[in-house]
Amino acid sequence: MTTTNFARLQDRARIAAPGALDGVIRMETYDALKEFFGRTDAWLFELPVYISPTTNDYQIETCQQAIVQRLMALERPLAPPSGTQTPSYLSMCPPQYMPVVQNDVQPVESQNPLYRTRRVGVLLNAGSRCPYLRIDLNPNVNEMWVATLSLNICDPMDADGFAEPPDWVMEKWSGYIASGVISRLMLQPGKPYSSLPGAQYHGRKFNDGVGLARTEVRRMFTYGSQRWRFPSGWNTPRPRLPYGSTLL
Amino acid sequence: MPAYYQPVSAYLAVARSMLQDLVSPYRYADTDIYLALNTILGEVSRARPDLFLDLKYIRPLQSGDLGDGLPPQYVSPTDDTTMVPIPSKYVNPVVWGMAGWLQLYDVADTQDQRASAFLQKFSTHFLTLTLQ
Repeated sequence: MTTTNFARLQDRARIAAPGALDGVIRMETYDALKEFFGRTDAWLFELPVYISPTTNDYQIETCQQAIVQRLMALERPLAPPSGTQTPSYLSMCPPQYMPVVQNDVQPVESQNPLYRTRRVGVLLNAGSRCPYLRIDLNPNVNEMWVATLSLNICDPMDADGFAEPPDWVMEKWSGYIASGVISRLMLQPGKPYSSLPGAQYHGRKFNDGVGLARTEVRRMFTYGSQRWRFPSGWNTPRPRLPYGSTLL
Repeated sequence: MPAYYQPVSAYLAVARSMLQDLVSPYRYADTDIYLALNTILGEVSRARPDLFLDLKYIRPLQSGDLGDGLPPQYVSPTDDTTMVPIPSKYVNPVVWGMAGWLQLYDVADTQDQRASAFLQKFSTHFLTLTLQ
């Protein structure tokens, strides 16, 4: 769908690169967006994964017009989010809630942290639309984990030939993304709009935007938040053991 | 549609106007003008392949879409109404190229200076930011 942000981006490119054709602008927009999301991980998506004792491999289906490029986190919430409440993107650091009452589906792991299963996995074929998630250790019970995924655009485009990234991304960083498009256009040889200095200027602006977006996403859009995190001794998924005790 | 396109007959009409060849019997046969159009489109595809890939990226690119941007070839007179996939902003230089190429012919009205002027306009308009 041609959003106002895409219309603005295309108009910026038409003016900064006079003579550029709309199809070529859309082609370069695709490449610029691909690089932007690849370097920033700005398009985050939380997906419930239903863990079964019988398998360690799970096919991820985001139902988005996007590929899964990275597994950012694997967490376990207190209860599965309902279909309407599942955030479409933007992970907000889900807390590590654990059930404190035993029931049929959840063991009493929180009563004894030594039995906690590490939530670690890998994507076997990252870069495809429905990659496989292989978890390292199976909890041997039916559980619902939440995979935080980094997405990127992919073909096919919409009916107007545009990619379909989250609109808030285009709203927030449209100027930088437009610079990426213009830089790529100006690098094309033998065009009325070819310009090496212009490509360098807009390329620097695009890189600035990538750095800014990457930092903002890592700080989850909070102003002046701390750069550091607790050292791994306090932050590890494996609990600290009392002196003298051993793991089973 | 983000661009307008012209049929082959429009290119022929404008080329004849540039060549001052509007009254029958014509100095330049239709087949020659078709040959000029095909030749110039080949030149354009070499210098500006993006012109022939434009439509490919305006529509959603589908799996198996292997259009490689080869310039089309036209045959007189069956292709008179066929649309030439050159966006409207680049129609004029194509016609200048056709006129220049035709005036290099060894015929009675040949004017090499005029031909080179047309060809110069053709190339500079495609490759640089000029108004002519």
